[in-house]
Amino acid sequence: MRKLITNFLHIAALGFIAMASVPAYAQEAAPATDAAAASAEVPSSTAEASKKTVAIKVPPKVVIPFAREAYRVFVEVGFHGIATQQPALRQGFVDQIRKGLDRMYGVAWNAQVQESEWLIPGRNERLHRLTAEELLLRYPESSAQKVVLIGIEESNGTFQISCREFDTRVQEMSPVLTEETGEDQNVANVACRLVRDSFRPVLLFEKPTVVGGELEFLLQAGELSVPDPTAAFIRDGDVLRTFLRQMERRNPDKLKLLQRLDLCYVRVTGFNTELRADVEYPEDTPVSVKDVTRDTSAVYYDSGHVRGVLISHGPVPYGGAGRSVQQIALRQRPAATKSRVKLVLQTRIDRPLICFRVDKVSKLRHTDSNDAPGERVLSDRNGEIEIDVDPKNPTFWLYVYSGSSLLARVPYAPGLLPQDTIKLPDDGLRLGVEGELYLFRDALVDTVAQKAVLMSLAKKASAEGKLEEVDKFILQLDELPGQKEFMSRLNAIKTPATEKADLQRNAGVKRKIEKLCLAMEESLTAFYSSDNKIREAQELEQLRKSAERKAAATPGLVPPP
Amino acid sequence: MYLRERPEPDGLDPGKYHVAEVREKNFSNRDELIKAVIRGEIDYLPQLLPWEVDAFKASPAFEVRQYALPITHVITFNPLSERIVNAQMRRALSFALNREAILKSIVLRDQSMRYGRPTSAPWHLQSYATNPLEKPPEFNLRLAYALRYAAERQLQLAELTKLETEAKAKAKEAGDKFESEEFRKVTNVDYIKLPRLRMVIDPDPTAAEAAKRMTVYWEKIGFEIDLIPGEQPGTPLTDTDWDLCYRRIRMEEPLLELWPLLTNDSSFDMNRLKLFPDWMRQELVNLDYSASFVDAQDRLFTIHRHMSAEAFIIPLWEVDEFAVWKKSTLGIPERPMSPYQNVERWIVRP
Repeated sequence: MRKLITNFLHIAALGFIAMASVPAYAQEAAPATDAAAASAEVPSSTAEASKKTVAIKVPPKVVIPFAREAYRVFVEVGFHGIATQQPALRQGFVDQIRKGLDRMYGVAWNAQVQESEWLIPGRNERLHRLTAEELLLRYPESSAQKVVLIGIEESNGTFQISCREFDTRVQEMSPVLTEETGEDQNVANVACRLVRDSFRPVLLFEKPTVVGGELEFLLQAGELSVPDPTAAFIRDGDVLRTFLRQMERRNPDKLKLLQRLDLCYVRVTGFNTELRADVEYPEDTPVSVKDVTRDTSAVYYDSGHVRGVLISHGPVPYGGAGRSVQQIALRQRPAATKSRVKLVLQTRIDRPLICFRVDKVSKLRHTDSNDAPGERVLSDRNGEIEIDVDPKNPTFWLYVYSGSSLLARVPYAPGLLPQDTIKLPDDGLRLGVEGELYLFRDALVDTVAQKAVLMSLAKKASAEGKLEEVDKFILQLDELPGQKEFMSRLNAIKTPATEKADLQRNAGVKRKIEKLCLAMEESLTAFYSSDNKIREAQELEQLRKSAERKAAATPGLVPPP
Repeated sequence: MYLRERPEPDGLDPGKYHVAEVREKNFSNRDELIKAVIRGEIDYLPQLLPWEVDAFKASPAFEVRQYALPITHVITFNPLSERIVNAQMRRALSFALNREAILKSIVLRDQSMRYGRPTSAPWHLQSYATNPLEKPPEFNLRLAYALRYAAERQLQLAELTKLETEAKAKAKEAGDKFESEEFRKVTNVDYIKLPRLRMVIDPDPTAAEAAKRMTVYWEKIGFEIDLIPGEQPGTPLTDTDWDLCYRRIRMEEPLLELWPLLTNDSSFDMNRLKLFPDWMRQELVNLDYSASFVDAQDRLFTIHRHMSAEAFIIPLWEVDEFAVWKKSTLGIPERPMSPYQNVERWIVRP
């Protein structure tokens, strides 16, 4: 607790410095003409003196704490349609959007809203066609952190507004959101709403939590107040997508490598943490300051920190220490009501995995127990499964099965991306062996069943004293396939499969095949154990003897006179 | 049925004119139909019953031709039926049938089985897809009985496990000690029986008669079967109304036609493959990825072997089919594939 408050105070102090430096930052961002005008007013002698000072003293670089850094956003508004050909209407829309966004985000956004000179025509299709590479050329990371593209398209008095966000740090675009309205007064409102829904706040990994195995993040502009509560950056049940940015060692501002961690999410578990002074902990030492009265009523909200659980399909290089690596996360909310996930072969991504069993289980960590039974789905002819968004469970665990083996266990957050791909290992060889063993087991069941039937018939014949029939059944029992035949059949299944696995250099599959065959071999050995064989032989011998005794005791048929 | 739209040019030998029109006549009585053929009222009878073939072959007035593909009789399972509980049940149904006896006495009415034979596949035995090592399922009533018992026992064990879990939870709640072995020993689950099955029959008198005979065999090992005639009036049956179906099929291309047969649907809905284990589903799916004819054949051989062993379909027998024409009809194909093959080239002499 004490540590949290110390952190908070430290950040608050940094924040104070940052607030003092905001105007300077704003000056840097201001148009060059203003700066030139301001410098023109300064007398020339003073200018020379200041030049000398600059040459001698280099001002220290001002670092704004991440949680207090406003987003640098470009908002480009494109138009299409006859009605939008009037410059006044277009300017009106741009102004209304600017004001609307200002009312919504306040100081958390340092936005430049303008009518786009290049987003022509500003249609929905145009937004769909845009690529991240194209936008990165236009807006390098140094110019803006976020670019929001709005397309306003008019047709027969109806306005179709589309919006898409581009993040320059992760070089990725959000899905296109579209809405229609029949009233031109409503266009700006709809556009602002779509911007709000498209916007993906950025978080920076700070450290793992001491207890609970969670991760702690700093939320950009998290400590700046957002006037519109519906535009809050984080809310309960939010999901973060994870990215790694490897920076150049000598130039830490330059990106060397960007890595998107697919199927790796962070589920938000805590934010806006309350920091209270009226709670005392045993490890706290009371400190008193002369003439200062301790105010225990103060309650602070740490809005700059977010806690969450990392969920991934396996070990990922996220949430640990990394030199020159920025571990960032994007808060993204569902843009669609469902997602289509395609299952493909890891080695051949053009090969869909059709008709695979997938269990969809809603729980946070894979180690958690299942509160509700999972829903079973089969991948379709394209190897795709459809996963609906569930507001109560933003992430699911998908268990992909191949026969009796679990092929993959992956987390998935539906709705974030309309289409996704999961690459899975090839299990065909092992599955084929499983099928053959299935038939092998059935053949064994047949033998057991026939043995049981013949034994019962032999018992009946023995009770009736029919020695010949008993002998016939014993002969039939001997003809049933024995351990040797079954072992040879088992080897005929195992050997070609392991050889194939060797050819494919797939040691994992080979091990699994050997394990399956070994289990079957053990069952076989147990069934055909020497104890069982002796017991069976003894039983047959007794039946035979009993039949002999009864046959001897039965009087022979008397021929008719 | 057929009417030539483009008249043939004048001035030719009238004996060489092709068919101008085909009129179909329906008979409710087979004897009346045969009489009409013999009297010459009909030029062409597209389907002969096996026991009628020899009589027409012997007559100089008629030309009998055998179809290129025989018709195969099979029993398919409803992939969405919950009454087909396990593989042992399907196999018991298959092993209980004396195919040869039914074929000889009902389908062919011929002890030498010249125009039919028991089969091991849903496609014809001369097909490239037929695995030559596969034999028709044997008739083994004892084994069928044992498998039916095993299928029922599996259901009872599942019920026993369910009851045990419930009792264990109750005992845990009450803080009592629970003895699993003792519980299993004293709990009686004999009330769990195999469900009654419903079989739809292809609307054909021979199929109906054969189905009736099959139920006799199945009843011997304790199955209860209701027969539903395919031509019965009323609303069409839904997936919940039937469990098995007696079908007569002629599969020209097993690679393409197997899937619709197994799923009883042509929409390639994956959910209709739920009846099959994962390995069988993947074998069916992988048929589409055959790289060559040999590869496709190899895969079909494997499927054939697995289908027979697991009774995913119960193959019964295949019957050669024949059609008869009056000798005055020329230009008919040597081994027709379908009843009206090349009809526009047939010539009917006056």
